[in-house]
Amino acid sequence: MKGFPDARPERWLGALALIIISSISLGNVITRYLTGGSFSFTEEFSVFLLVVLTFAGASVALRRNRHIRIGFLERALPLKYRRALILFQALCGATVLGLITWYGGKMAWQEYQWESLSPGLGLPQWWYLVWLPVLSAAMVWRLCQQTADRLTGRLTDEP
Amino acid sequence: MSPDVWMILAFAGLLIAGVSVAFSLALSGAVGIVLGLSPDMLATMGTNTYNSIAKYPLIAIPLFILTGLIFERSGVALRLVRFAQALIGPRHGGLALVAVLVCMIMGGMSGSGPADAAAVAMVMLPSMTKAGYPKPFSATLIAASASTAILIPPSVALILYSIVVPGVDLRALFAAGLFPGILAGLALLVPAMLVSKRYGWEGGTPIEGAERLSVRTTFKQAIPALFAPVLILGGLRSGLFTPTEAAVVAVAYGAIVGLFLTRELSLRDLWELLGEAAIISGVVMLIIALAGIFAWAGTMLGTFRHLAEWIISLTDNGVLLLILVMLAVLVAGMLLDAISIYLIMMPILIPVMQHFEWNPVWFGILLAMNIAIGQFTPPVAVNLMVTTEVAKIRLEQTLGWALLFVVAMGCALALVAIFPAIALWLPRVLGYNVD
Repeated sequence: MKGFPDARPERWLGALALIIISSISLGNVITRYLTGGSFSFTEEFSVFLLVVLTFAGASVALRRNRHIRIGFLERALPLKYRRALILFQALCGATVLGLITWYGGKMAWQEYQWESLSPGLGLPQWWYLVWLPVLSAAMVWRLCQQTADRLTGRLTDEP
Repeated sequence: MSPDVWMILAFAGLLIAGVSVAFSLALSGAVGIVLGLSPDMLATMGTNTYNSIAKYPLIAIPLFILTGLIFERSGVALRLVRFAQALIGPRHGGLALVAVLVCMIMGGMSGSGPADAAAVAMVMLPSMTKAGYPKPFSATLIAASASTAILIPPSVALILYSIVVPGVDLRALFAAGLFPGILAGLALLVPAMLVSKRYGWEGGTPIEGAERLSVRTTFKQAIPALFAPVLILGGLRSGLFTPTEAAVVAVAYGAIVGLFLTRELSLRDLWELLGEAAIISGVVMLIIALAGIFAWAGTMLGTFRHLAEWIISLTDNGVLLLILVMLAVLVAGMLLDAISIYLIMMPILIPVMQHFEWNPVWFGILLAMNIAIGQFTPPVAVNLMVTTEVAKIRLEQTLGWALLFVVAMGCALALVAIFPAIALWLPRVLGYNVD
Protein backbone atom coordinates (compact mmCIF):
# COMPACT_ATOMS: atom_id res chain seq x y z
CA MET A 1 0.00 0.00 0.00
CA LYS A 2 1.71 3.10 -1.18
CA GLY A 3 0.68 6.52 -0.04
CA PHE A 4 -0.26 5.25 3.41
CA PRO A 5 1.72 6.10 6.50
CA ASP A 6 3.80 3.18 7.65
CA ALA A 7 4.63 1.66 11.01
CA ARG A 8 7.74 -0.15 9.96
CA PRO A 9 8.86 -1.91 13.16
CA GLU A 10 5.45 -3.48 13.65
CA ARG A 11 5.12 -4.38 9.98
CA TRP A 12 8.48 -6.14 10.11
CA LEU A 13 7.62 -7.87 13.34
CA GLY A 14 4.32 -9.08 11.89
CA ALA A 15 5.92 -10.33 8.68
CA LEU A 16 8.64 -12.08 10.67
CA ALA A 17 6.08 -13.75 12.93
CA LEU A 18 4.18 -14.96 9.87
CA ILE A 19 7.35 -16.39 8.28
CA ILE A 20 8.19 -18.29 11.45
CA ILE A 21 4.62 -19.58 11.81
CA SER A 22 4.68 -20.77 8.18
CA SER A 23 8.09 -22.41 8.57
CA ILE A 24 7.13 -24.24 11.75
CA SER A 25 3.86 -25.48 10.25
CA LEU A 26 5.54 -26.53 7.01
CA GLY A 27 8.33 -28.21 8.92
CA ASN A 28 5.69 -30.04 10.91
CA VAL A 29 3.98 -31.38 7.79
CA ILE A 30 7.27 -32.50 6.24
CA THR A 31 8.67 -34.22 9.32
CA ARG A 32 5.39 -35.97 9.90
CA TYR A 33 5.64 -37.59 6.49
CA LEU A 34 9.30 -38.41 6.81
CA THR A 35 9.37 -39.70 10.36
CA GLY A 36 5.75 -40.24 11.27
CA GLY A 37 6.15 -38.21 14.46
CA SER A 38 5.22 -34.58 14.99
CA PHE A 39 6.63 -31.95 17.27
CA SER A 40 3.36 -30.77 18.69
CA PHE A 41 5.11 -28.95 21.55
CA THR A 42 5.86 -26.21 19.00
CA GLU A 43 2.13 -25.46 18.94
CA GLU A 44 2.46 -23.20 21.93
CA PHE A 45 5.16 -21.19 20.17
CA SER A 46 3.09 -20.85 16.97
CA VAL A 47 0.12 -19.73 18.99
CA PHE A 48 2.24 -17.15 20.79
CA LEU A 49 3.51 -15.86 17.44
CA LEU A 50 -0.11 -15.57 16.32
CA VAL A 51 -0.71 -13.14 19.18
CA VAL A 52 2.36 -11.13 18.18
CA LEU A 53 1.25 -11.18 14.53
CA THR A 54 -2.23 -9.98 15.47
CA PHE A 55 -1.17 -7.04 17.57
CA ALA A 56 1.74 -6.02 15.34
CA GLY A 57 -0.52 -6.12 12.26
CA ALA A 58 -3.33 -4.36 14.09
CA SER A 59 -0.89 -1.62 15.08
CA VAL A 60 0.06 -0.90 11.46
CA ALA A 61 -3.61 -0.99 10.48
CA LEU A 62 -4.39 1.45 13.28
CA ARG A 63 -1.72 3.83 12.03
CA ARG A 64 -3.33 3.71 8.59
CA ASN A 65 -6.89 3.88 9.97
CA ARG A 66 -7.79 0.66 8.20
CA HIS A 67 -9.74 -1.06 10.96
CA ILE A 68 -13.26 -2.04 9.99
CA ARG A 69 -15.80 0.54 11.11
CA ILE A 70 -18.94 2.30 9.98
CA GLY A 71 -18.29 5.76 8.60
CA PHE A 72 -21.72 7.22 7.78
CA LEU A 73 -22.06 9.63 10.61
CA GLU A 74 -18.59 10.96 10.10
CA ARG A 75 -19.17 11.68 6.42
CA ALA A 76 -22.54 13.24 7.13
CA LEU A 77 -21.25 15.69 9.74
CA PRO A 78 -19.85 19.14 8.99
CA LEU A 79 -16.14 19.61 9.61
CA LYS A 80 -16.44 21.13 13.06
CA TYR A 81 -18.42 18.23 14.50
CA ARG A 82 -16.37 15.70 12.60
CA ARG A 83 -13.31 16.78 14.54
CA ALA A 84 -15.12 16.25 17.81
CA LEU A 85 -16.15 12.81 16.59
CA ILE A 86 -12.58 11.91 15.62
CA LEU A 87 -11.45 12.89 19.11
CA PHE A 88 -14.23 10.80 20.64
CA GLN A 89 -13.19 7.78 18.54
CA ALA A 90 -9.59 8.25 19.63
CA LEU A 91 -10.66 8.46 23.26
CA CYS A 92 -12.59 5.19 22.98
CA GLY A 93 -9.65 3.45 21.33
CA ALA A 94 -7.25 4.78 23.94
CA THR A 95 -9.49 3.58 26.78
CA VAL A 96 -9.62 0.05 25.40
CA LEU A 97 -5.89 -0.10 24.66
CA GLY A 98 -5.08 1.48 28.02
CA LEU A 99 -7.10 -1.17 29.85
CA ILE A 100 -5.48 -3.96 27.85
CA THR A 101 -2.01 -2.57 28.49
CA TRP A 102 -2.69 -2.22 32.22
CA TYR A 103 -4.31 -5.59 32.82
CA GLY A 104 -2.06 -7.36 30.32
CA GLY A 105 0.95 -5.90 32.12
CA LYS A 106 -0.46 -7.01 35.45
CA MET A 107 -0.96 -10.51 34.12
CA ALA A 108 2.61 -10.73 32.82
CA TRP A 109 3.94 -9.34 36.10
CA GLN A 110 2.07 -11.97 38.12
CA GLU A 111 3.44 -14.76 35.96
CA TYR A 112 6.91 -13.29 36.42
CA GLN A 113 6.51 -13.33 40.21
CA TRP A 114 5.05 -16.82 40.25
CA GLU A 115 7.86 -17.95 37.94
CA SER A 116 5.42 -20.19 36.08
CA LEU A 117 6.71 -22.16 33.12
CA SER A 118 4.92 -22.87 29.86
CA PRO A 119 3.49 -26.40 29.55
CA GLY A 120 5.03 -27.28 26.17
CA LEU A 121 8.52 -25.88 25.98
CA GLY A 122 9.12 -25.10 29.64
CA LEU A 123 9.92 -21.47 28.98
CA PRO A 124 9.01 -18.75 31.49
CA GLN A 125 5.38 -17.92 30.79
CA TRP A 126 5.95 -14.16 31.05
CA TRP A 127 8.20 -14.21 27.99
CA TYR A 128 5.04 -14.89 26.01
CA LEU A 129 2.60 -12.73 27.95
CA VAL A 130 4.68 -9.58 28.10
CA TRP A 131 4.20 -8.97 24.37
CA LEU A 132 0.52 -8.15 24.82
CA PRO A 133 1.00 -5.02 26.97
CA VAL A 134 4.09 -3.96 25.00
CA LEU A 135 2.31 -4.12 21.66
CA SER A 136 -0.93 -2.60 22.91
CA ALA A 137 1.11 0.28 24.33
CA ALA A 138 2.66 0.67 20.87
CA MET A 139 -0.88 0.79 19.50
CA VAL A 140 -1.72 3.69 21.82
CA TRP A 141 1.17 5.60 20.28
CA ARG A 142 0.04 4.75 16.73
CA LEU A 143 -3.47 5.86 17.66
CA CYS A 144 -2.12 9.26 18.72
CA GLN A 145 -0.22 9.63 15.44
CA GLN A 146 -3.25 8.58 13.44
CA THR A 147 -5.57 10.96 15.26
CA ALA A 148 -3.16 13.86 14.76
CA ASP A 149 -3.01 13.06 11.04
CA ARG A 150 -6.77 12.84 10.72
CA LEU A 151 -7.33 16.11 12.57
CA THR A 152 -4.93 17.95 10.29
CA GLY A 153 -6.42 16.27 7.22
CA ARG A 154 -3.26 14.39 6.28
CA LEU A 155 -5.04 11.06 6.47
CA THR A 156 -8.30 10.86 4.54
CA ASP A 157 -10.93 9.03 6.45
CA GLU A 158 -12.73 6.58 4.28
CA PRO A 159 -11.02 3.99 2.12
CA MET B 1 -32.05 -0.04 32.85
CA SER B 2 -30.25 -3.32 33.27
CA PRO B 3 -26.56 -3.68 32.46
CA ASP B 4 -27.57 -5.91 29.49
CA VAL B 5 -29.35 -3.08 27.82
CA TRP B 6 -26.57 -0.63 28.57
CA MET B 7 -24.04 -2.96 27.02
CA ILE B 8 -26.01 -3.38 23.82
CA LEU B 9 -26.87 0.31 23.58
CA ALA B 10 -23.20 1.18 24.13
CA PHE B 11 -22.19 -1.20 21.36
CA ALA B 12 -24.73 0.22 18.90
CA GLY B 13 -23.86 3.80 19.83
CA LEU B 14 -20.12 3.25 19.45
CA LEU B 15 -20.59 1.58 16.07
CA ILE B 16 -22.69 4.47 14.79
CA ALA B 17 -20.13 6.94 16.09
CA GLY B 18 -17.60 5.27 13.80
CA VAL B 19 -15.48 3.62 16.47
CA SER B 20 -13.88 0.53 14.91
CA VAL B 21 -15.80 -2.72 15.41
CA ALA B 22 -13.04 -4.23 17.52
CA PHE B 23 -12.87 -1.32 19.96
CA SER B 24 -16.67 -1.04 20.11
CA LEU B 25 -16.89 -4.68 21.17
CA ALA B 26 -14.24 -4.32 23.87
CA LEU B 27 -15.54 -1.05 25.25
CA SER B 28 -19.18 -2.11 25.41
CA GLY B 29 -18.02 -5.34 27.05
CA ALA B 30 -16.18 -3.22 29.61
CA VAL B 31 -19.33 -1.12 30.16
CA GLY B 32 -21.29 -4.32 30.82
CA ILE B 33 -18.64 -5.57 33.26
CA VAL B 34 -18.42 -2.31 35.22
CA LEU B 35 -22.20 -1.85 35.50
CA GLY B 36 -23.30 -5.44 35.92
CA LEU B 37 -20.44 -7.25 37.60
CA SER B 38 -17.58 -5.51 39.34
CA PRO B 39 -14.80 -3.25 38.09
CA ASP B 40 -12.26 -5.77 39.41
CA MET B 41 -13.44 -8.15 36.74
CA LEU B 42 -12.03 -5.84 34.10
CA ALA B 43 -8.90 -7.94 34.64
CA THR B 44 -10.42 -10.21 32.01
CA MET B 45 -9.30 -7.63 29.45
CA GLY B 46 -5.78 -8.99 29.83
CA THR B 47 -6.38 -12.74 29.96
CA ASN B 48 -9.37 -12.85 27.64
CA THR B 49 -7.72 -10.80 24.93
CA TYR B 50 -4.74 -13.13 24.90
CA ASN B 51 -6.69 -16.37 25.18
CA SER B 52 -9.26 -15.49 22.51
CA ILE B 53 -6.60 -15.58 19.83
CA ALA B 54 -4.11 -18.02 21.33
CA LYS B 55 -5.87 -20.94 19.64
CA TYR B 56 -4.20 -23.31 17.24
CA PRO B 57 -6.98 -23.57 14.60
CA LEU B 58 -6.90 -19.78 14.16
CA ILE B 59 -3.42 -20.05 12.63
CA ALA B 60 -5.13 -21.06 9.38
CA ILE B 61 -6.59 -17.55 9.06
CA PRO B 62 -3.39 -15.54 8.43
CA LEU B 63 -2.08 -18.39 6.28
CA PHE B 64 -5.12 -18.41 3.99
CA ILE B 65 -5.01 -14.61 3.81
CA LEU B 66 -1.37 -14.88 2.74
CA THR B 67 -2.26 -17.55 0.16
CA GLY B 68 -4.86 -15.27 -1.38
CA LEU B 69 -2.41 -12.37 -1.59
CA ILE B 70 0.32 -14.53 -3.12
CA PHE B 71 -1.98 -15.94 -5.79
CA GLU B 72 -3.35 -12.49 -6.50
CA ARG B 73 0.13 -11.06 -7.04
CA SER B 74 1.63 -13.98 -8.94
CA GLY B 75 -0.46 -13.41 -12.06
CA VAL B 76 -2.71 -16.38 -11.50
CA ALA B 77 -5.94 -14.46 -12.16
CA LEU B 78 -4.77 -13.28 -15.58
CA ARG B 79 -3.86 -16.81 -16.65
CA LEU B 80 -7.19 -18.18 -15.50
CA VAL B 81 -9.03 -15.44 -17.36
CA ARG B 82 -7.17 -16.14 -20.59
CA PHE B 83 -7.85 -19.84 -20.36
CA ALA B 84 -11.55 -19.34 -19.64
CA GLN B 85 -11.78 -16.83 -22.49
CA ALA B 86 -10.17 -19.26 -24.90
CA LEU B 87 -12.65 -21.93 -23.83
CA ILE B 88 -15.75 -19.80 -24.07
CA GLY B 89 -14.89 -17.60 -27.02
CA PRO B 90 -16.59 -14.33 -27.93
CA ARG B 91 -20.37 -14.50 -27.54
CA HIS B 92 -23.14 -12.58 -25.79
CA GLY B 93 -22.30 -12.55 -22.12
CA GLY B 94 -19.10 -14.54 -22.68
CA LEU B 95 -16.92 -12.30 -20.57
CA ALA B 96 -19.56 -12.20 -17.84
CA LEU B 97 -19.35 -15.97 -17.72
CA VAL B 98 -15.54 -15.80 -17.58
CA ALA B 99 -15.67 -13.31 -14.71
CA VAL B 100 -18.00 -15.48 -12.62
CA LEU B 101 -16.03 -18.67 -13.25
CA VAL B 102 -12.67 -17.11 -12.47
CA CYS B 103 -14.01 -15.54 -9.27
CA MET B 104 -15.22 -18.96 -8.16
CA ILE B 105 -11.89 -20.67 -8.89
CA MET B 106 -10.03 -17.87 -7.11
CA GLY B 107 -12.41 -18.45 -4.19
CA GLY B 108 -11.05 -21.99 -4.08
CA MET B 109 -7.58 -20.68 -3.28
CA SER B 110 -8.15 -17.80 -0.94
CA GLY B 111 -10.31 -17.41 2.06
CA SER B 112 -12.01 -14.07 1.58
CA GLY B 113 -13.85 -12.04 -1.03
CA PRO B 114 -12.19 -8.62 -1.28
CA ALA B 115 -8.79 -9.97 -2.42
CA ASP B 116 -10.45 -11.99 -5.20
CA ALA B 117 -12.64 -9.09 -6.21
CA ALA B 118 -9.60 -6.86 -6.57
CA ALA B 119 -7.58 -9.41 -8.54
CA VAL B 120 -10.36 -10.26 -10.98
CA ALA B 121 -11.55 -6.66 -11.39
CA MET B 122 -8.06 -5.49 -12.33
CA VAL B 123 -7.76 -8.14 -15.02
CA MET B 124 -11.32 -8.23 -16.33
CA LEU B 125 -12.69 -4.69 -16.13
CA PRO B 126 -10.70 -3.20 -19.02
CA SER B 127 -11.61 -6.00 -21.44
CA MET B 128 -15.25 -6.05 -20.32
CA THR B 129 -15.52 -2.31 -20.80
CA LYS B 130 -13.97 -2.62 -24.26
CA ALA B 131 -16.47 -5.34 -25.17
CA GLY B 132 -19.35 -3.01 -24.35
CA TYR B 133 -20.37 -3.90 -20.82
CA PRO B 134 -21.14 -0.83 -18.74
CA LYS B 135 -18.71 -0.39 -15.86
CA PRO B 136 -21.31 -0.43 -13.06
CA PHE B 137 -22.58 -3.78 -14.33
CA SER B 138 -19.12 -5.37 -14.53
CA ALA B 139 -18.03 -4.01 -11.15
CA THR B 140 -21.17 -5.32 -9.46
CA LEU B 141 -20.99 -8.70 -11.16
CA ILE B 142 -17.38 -9.21 -10.10
CA ALA B 143 -18.10 -8.07 -6.55
CA ALA B 144 -21.05 -10.44 -6.31
CA SER B 145 -19.18 -13.42 -7.76
CA ALA B 146 -16.20 -12.81 -5.50
CA SER B 147 -18.50 -12.98 -2.50
CA THR B 148 -18.87 -16.72 -3.16
CA ALA B 149 -15.32 -17.02 -1.79
CA ILE B 150 -16.66 -17.22 1.74
CA LEU B 151 -18.70 -20.27 0.72
CA ILE B 152 -16.22 -22.03 -1.52
CA PRO B 153 -13.55 -23.63 0.64
CA PRO B 154 -11.14 -22.60 2.05
CA SER B 155 -13.08 -19.91 3.85
CA VAL B 156 -11.89 -17.75 6.71
CA ALA B 157 -15.48 -17.16 7.85
CA LEU B 158 -16.22 -20.89 8.06
CA ILE B 159 -12.99 -21.52 10.00
CA LEU B 160 -14.26 -19.05 12.56
CA TYR B 161 -17.74 -20.60 12.60
CA SER B 162 -16.23 -23.98 13.42
CA ILE B 163 -14.40 -22.42 16.37
CA VAL B 164 -17.38 -20.46 17.70
CA VAL B 165 -19.91 -23.28 17.39
CA PRO B 166 -18.88 -26.29 19.48
CA GLY B 167 -18.82 -29.70 17.86
CA VAL B 168 -18.82 -28.66 14.22
CA ASP B 169 -16.21 -30.33 12.01
CA LEU B 170 -14.44 -27.77 9.84
CA ARG B 171 -13.93 -30.29 7.04
CA ALA B 172 -17.68 -30.97 6.97
CA LEU B 173 -18.31 -27.22 6.77
CA PHE B 174 -15.83 -26.81 3.94
CA ALA B 175 -17.43 -29.67 2.02
CA ALA B 176 -20.90 -28.29 2.71
CA GLY B 177 -19.97 -24.88 1.34
CA LEU B 178 -18.89 -26.13 -2.08
CA PHE B 179 -22.23 -26.77 -3.79
CA PRO B 180 -24.07 -23.77 -2.32
CA GLY B 181 -21.11 -21.68 -3.49
CA ILE B 182 -21.34 -23.05 -7.02
CA LEU B 183 -25.13 -22.66 -6.94
CA ALA B 184 -24.73 -19.02 -5.90
CA GLY B 185 -22.33 -18.46 -8.79
CA LEU B 186 -24.76 -20.03 -11.25
CA ALA B 187 -27.61 -17.97 -9.83
CA LEU B 188 -25.61 -14.82 -10.62
CA LEU B 189 -24.86 -16.07 -14.08
CA VAL B 190 -28.49 -16.42 -15.16
CA PRO B 191 -29.46 -12.73 -14.89
CA ALA B 192 -26.00 -11.69 -16.13
CA MET B 193 -26.38 -13.70 -19.33
CA LEU B 194 -30.00 -12.61 -19.88
CA VAL B 195 -29.11 -8.95 -19.44
CA SER B 196 -26.07 -9.23 -21.74
CA LYS B 197 -28.19 -10.82 -24.42
CA ARG B 198 -30.99 -8.29 -24.00
CA TYR B 199 -28.66 -5.33 -24.46
CA GLY B 200 -26.42 -7.10 -26.95
CA TRP B 201 -23.21 -6.55 -25.02
CA GLU B 202 -20.22 -8.29 -26.56
CA GLY B 203 -21.53 -9.28 -30.00
CA GLY B 204 -20.78 -12.48 -31.82
CA THR B 205 -18.13 -10.81 -33.96
CA PRO B 206 -14.65 -10.56 -32.43
CA ILE B 207 -13.42 -7.09 -31.51
CA GLU B 208 -10.90 -5.48 -33.88
CA GLY B 209 -7.36 -6.25 -32.88
CA ALA B 210 -8.28 -8.77 -30.19
CA GLU B 211 -5.85 -11.67 -30.16
CA ARG B 212 -7.14 -15.15 -30.74
CA LEU B 213 -6.38 -17.34 -27.77
CA SER B 214 -5.67 -20.99 -28.26
CA VAL B 215 -7.15 -23.34 -25.70
CA ARG B 216 -3.99 -25.42 -25.63
CA THR B 217 -1.42 -22.77 -24.77
CA THR B 218 -3.65 -20.93 -22.33
CA PHE B 219 -4.48 -24.21 -20.60
CA LYS B 220 -0.78 -24.94 -20.15
CA GLN B 221 -0.30 -21.53 -18.58
CA ALA B 222 -3.33 -21.98 -16.35
CA ILE B 223 -2.35 -25.43 -15.01
CA PRO B 224 -0.46 -24.15 -11.94
CA ALA B 225 -3.46 -21.99 -11.05
CA LEU B 226 -6.01 -24.73 -11.64
CA PHE B 227 -3.98 -27.15 -9.56
CA ALA B 228 -4.15 -24.96 -6.43
CA PRO B 229 -7.78 -25.67 -5.48
CA VAL B 230 -7.17 -29.33 -6.29
CA LEU B 231 -4.21 -29.38 -3.92
CA ILE B 232 -6.08 -27.60 -1.12
CA LEU B 233 -9.38 -29.46 -1.39
CA GLY B 234 -7.84 -32.80 -2.32
CA GLY B 235 -5.39 -32.58 0.56
CA LEU B 236 -8.19 -31.86 2.98
CA ARG B 237 -10.40 -34.59 1.57
CA SER B 238 -7.80 -37.32 1.61
CA GLY B 239 -6.91 -36.51 5.19
CA LEU B 240 -3.42 -35.69 4.01
CA PHE B 241 -3.53 -32.33 5.78
CA THR B 242 -5.47 -30.64 8.52
CA PRO B 243 -6.93 -27.25 7.48
CA THR B 244 -3.96 -25.43 9.01
CA GLU B 245 -1.53 -27.64 7.14
CA ALA B 246 -3.49 -27.26 3.92
CA ALA B 247 -3.13 -23.51 4.38
CA VAL B 248 0.64 -23.64 4.80
CA VAL B 249 1.04 -26.05 1.89
CA ALA B 250 -0.98 -23.63 -0.23
CA VAL B 251 1.29 -20.77 0.84
CA ALA B 252 4.38 -22.76 -0.12
CA TYR B 253 2.83 -23.82 -3.43
CA GLY B 254 1.76 -20.26 -4.27
CA ALA B 255 5.22 -18.93 -3.47
CA ILE B 256 6.85 -21.55 -5.70
CA VAL B 257 4.43 -20.80 -8.55
CA GLY B 258 4.98 -17.05 -8.25
CA LEU B 259 8.74 -17.22 -7.84
CA PHE B 260 9.63 -19.91 -10.37
CA LEU B 261 6.73 -20.62 -12.73
CA THR B 262 5.04 -17.31 -13.50
CA ARG B 263 8.06 -15.36 -12.23
CA GLU B 264 5.90 -12.38 -11.44
CA LEU B 265 6.90 -12.51 -7.81
CA SER B 266 10.30 -11.55 -6.43
CA LEU B 267 11.59 -12.28 -2.95
CA ARG B 268 11.15 -8.61 -2.19
CA ASP B 269 7.48 -8.77 -3.23
CA LEU B 270 7.08 -11.82 -1.05
CA TRP B 271 8.37 -9.91 1.97
CA GLU B 272 5.95 -7.10 1.23
CA LEU B 273 3.08 -9.54 0.88
CA LEU B 274 3.99 -11.03 4.26
CA GLY B 275 3.71 -7.55 5.77
CA GLU B 276 0.42 -6.93 3.98
CA ALA B 277 -0.94 -10.30 5.17
CA ALA B 278 0.11 -9.42 8.72
CA ILE B 279 -1.84 -6.15 8.52
CA ILE B 280 -5.01 -7.73 7.11
CA SER B 281 -4.75 -10.54 9.68
CA GLY B 282 -4.25 -7.90 12.36
CA VAL B 283 -7.55 -6.28 11.40
CA VAL B 284 -9.43 -9.59 11.41
CA MET B 285 -7.77 -11.10 14.46
CA LEU B 286 -8.07 -7.96 16.60
CA ILE B 287 -11.84 -8.25 16.21
CA ILE B 288 -11.61 -11.88 17.33
CA ALA B 289 -9.41 -10.92 20.28
CA LEU B 290 -11.62 -8.12 21.53
CA ALA B 291 -14.92 -9.87 20.79
CA GLY B 292 -13.75 -12.28 23.48
CA ILE B 293 -14.34 -9.56 26.08
CA PHE B 294 -17.81 -8.81 24.72
CA ALA B 295 -18.69 -12.50 24.64
CA TRP B 296 -17.41 -13.03 28.18
CA ALA B 297 -19.39 -10.08 29.54
CA GLY B 298 -22.50 -11.13 27.61
CA THR B 299 -22.29 -14.66 28.95
CA MET B 300 -21.61 -13.62 32.55
CA LEU B 301 -24.49 -11.13 32.52
CA GLY B 302 -26.79 -13.59 30.80
CA THR B 303 -27.41 -11.11 28.00
CA PHE B 304 -27.10 -13.69 25.26
CA ARG B 305 -29.40 -16.10 27.07
CA HIS B 306 -32.04 -13.38 27.51
CA LEU B 307 -31.82 -12.41 23.87
CA ALA B 308 -32.03 -16.02 22.73
CA GLU B 309 -35.06 -16.63 24.96
CA TRP B 310 -36.68 -13.52 23.59
CA ILE B 311 -36.09 -14.64 20.00
CA ILE B 312 -37.46 -18.12 20.71
CA SER B 313 -40.53 -16.60 22.39
CA LEU B 314 -41.33 -14.61 19.25
CA THR B 315 -42.91 -17.55 17.50
CA ASP B 316 -43.17 -21.32 17.66
CA ASN B 317 -42.98 -21.48 13.92
CA GLY B 318 -39.44 -22.58 13.06
CA VAL B 319 -39.69 -21.62 9.41
CA LEU B 320 -40.89 -18.12 10.16
CA LEU B 321 -38.16 -17.65 12.72
CA LEU B 322 -35.53 -18.90 10.29
CA ILE B 323 -36.70 -16.29 7.80
CA LEU B 324 -36.53 -13.59 10.49
CA VAL B 325 -33.02 -14.67 11.49
CA MET B 326 -31.91 -14.67 7.85
CA LEU B 327 -33.29 -11.15 7.34
CA ALA B 328 -31.53 -9.93 10.48
CA VAL B 329 -28.22 -11.44 9.35
CA LEU B 330 -28.70 -9.96 5.89
CA VAL B 331 -29.13 -6.49 7.38
CA ALA B 332 -26.11 -7.08 9.62
CA GLY B 333 -24.19 -8.23 6.55
CA MET B 334 -24.87 -4.91 4.86
CA LEU B 335 -23.19 -3.11 7.75
CA LEU B 336 -20.51 -5.45 9.07
CA ASP B 337 -18.00 -8.03 7.90
CA ALA B 338 -18.44 -11.79 8.15
CA ILE B 339 -16.06 -12.27 11.09
CA SER B 340 -17.81 -9.73 13.32
CA ILE B 341 -21.23 -11.09 12.47
CA TYR B 342 -20.31 -14.63 13.43
CA LEU B 343 -18.69 -13.46 16.67
CA ILE B 344 -21.56 -11.19 17.69
CA MET B 345 -24.54 -13.22 16.54
CA MET B 346 -23.54 -16.82 17.17
CA PRO B 347 -23.62 -16.72 21.00
CA ILE B 348 -27.24 -15.57 20.64
CA LEU B 349 -28.15 -17.87 17.78
CA ILE B 350 -26.65 -21.13 19.10
CA PRO B 351 -29.44 -21.63 21.70
CA VAL B 352 -32.03 -20.73 19.05
CA MET B 353 -30.47 -23.21 16.65
CA GLN B 354 -30.52 -25.93 19.30
CA HIS B 355 -34.11 -25.15 20.29
CA PHE B 356 -35.39 -25.65 16.75
CA GLU B 357 -32.93 -28.48 16.08
CA TRP B 358 -31.49 -26.86 13.01
CA ASN B 359 -28.49 -28.67 11.59
CA PRO B 360 -25.44 -26.60 12.64
CA VAL B 361 -23.54 -27.24 9.41
CA TRP B 362 -26.50 -26.28 7.23
CA PHE B 363 -27.25 -23.26 9.40
CA GLY B 364 -23.63 -22.10 9.15
CA ILE B 365 -23.79 -22.29 5.37
CA LEU B 366 -27.07 -20.36 5.27
CA LEU B 367 -25.51 -17.63 7.43
CA ALA B 368 -22.47 -17.56 5.17
CA MET B 369 -24.70 -17.12 2.11
CA ASN B 370 -26.49 -14.24 3.79
CA ILE B 371 -23.21 -12.62 4.70
CA ALA B 372 -22.00 -13.16 1.14
CA ILE B 373 -25.00 -11.21 -0.13
CA GLY B 374 -24.21 -8.48 2.38
CA GLN B 375 -20.71 -8.17 0.96
CA PHE B 376 -22.02 -6.59 -2.24
CA THR B 377 -25.05 -4.79 -0.85
CA PRO B 378 -24.61 -1.06 -0.24
CA PRO B 379 -24.15 0.90 2.02
CA VAL B 380 -21.20 -1.06 3.43
CA ALA B 381 -20.23 -3.52 0.72
CA VAL B 382 -16.62 -4.56 1.10
CA ASN B 383 -16.34 -6.30 -2.27
CA LEU B 384 -18.20 -3.61 -4.16
CA MET B 385 -15.99 -0.91 -2.65
CA VAL B 386 -12.96 -2.68 -4.04
CA THR B 387 -14.34 -3.16 -7.55
CA THR B 388 -15.86 0.32 -7.86
CA GLU B 389 -12.49 1.71 -6.85
CA VAL B 390 -10.80 -0.25 -9.62
CA ALA B 391 -13.51 0.84 -12.09
CA LYS B 392 -13.32 4.45 -10.84
CA ILE B 393 -17.07 4.79 -10.49
CA ARG B 394 -19.22 5.78 -7.51
CA LEU B 395 -20.85 3.17 -5.33
CA GLU B 396 -24.32 4.66 -5.93
CA GLN B 397 -24.12 3.93 -9.67
CA THR B 398 -24.14 0.21 -8.98
CA LEU B 399 -27.31 0.20 -6.88
CA GLY B 400 -29.69 -1.16 -9.54
CA TRP B 401 -27.39 -3.98 -10.59
CA ALA B 402 -26.61 -4.82 -6.99
CA LEU B 403 -30.34 -5.27 -6.33
CA LEU B 404 -30.67 -7.61 -9.31
CA PHE B 405 -27.84 -9.81 -8.06
CA VAL B 406 -29.14 -9.71 -4.49
CA VAL B 407 -32.42 -11.16 -5.74
CA ALA B 408 -30.55 -13.78 -7.77
CA MET B 409 -28.40 -14.90 -4.87
CA GLY B 410 -31.42 -14.70 -2.56
CA CYS B 411 -33.03 -17.36 -4.76
CA ALA B 412 -29.96 -19.58 -4.34
CA LEU B 413 -30.18 -19.04 -0.59
CA ALA B 414 -33.86 -19.99 -0.58
CA LEU B 415 -33.05 -23.18 -2.49
CA VAL B 416 -30.42 -24.22 0.07
CA ALA B 417 -32.84 -23.38 2.88
CA ILE B 418 -35.61 -25.48 1.35
CA PHE B 419 -33.34 -28.34 0.24
CA PRO B 420 -30.68 -28.77 2.96
CA ALA B 421 -29.25 -31.67 0.94
CA ILE B 422 -27.59 -29.18 -1.43
CA ALA B 423 -25.24 -28.37 1.43
CA LEU B 424 -25.27 -31.61 3.37
CA TRP B 425 -25.01 -34.17 0.60
CA LEU B 426 -21.29 -33.78 -0.08
CA PRO B 427 -20.05 -33.92 3.54
CA ARG B 428 -22.26 -36.99 4.10
CA VAL B 429 -20.86 -38.74 1.04
CA LEU B 430 -17.33 -37.89 2.15
CA GLY B 431 -18.11 -39.45 5.50
CA TYR B 432 -17.89 -36.39 7.76
CA ASN B 433 -20.10 -36.04 10.76
CA VAL B 434 -22.75 -33.43 10.00
CA ASP B 435 -25.36 -34.07 12.69
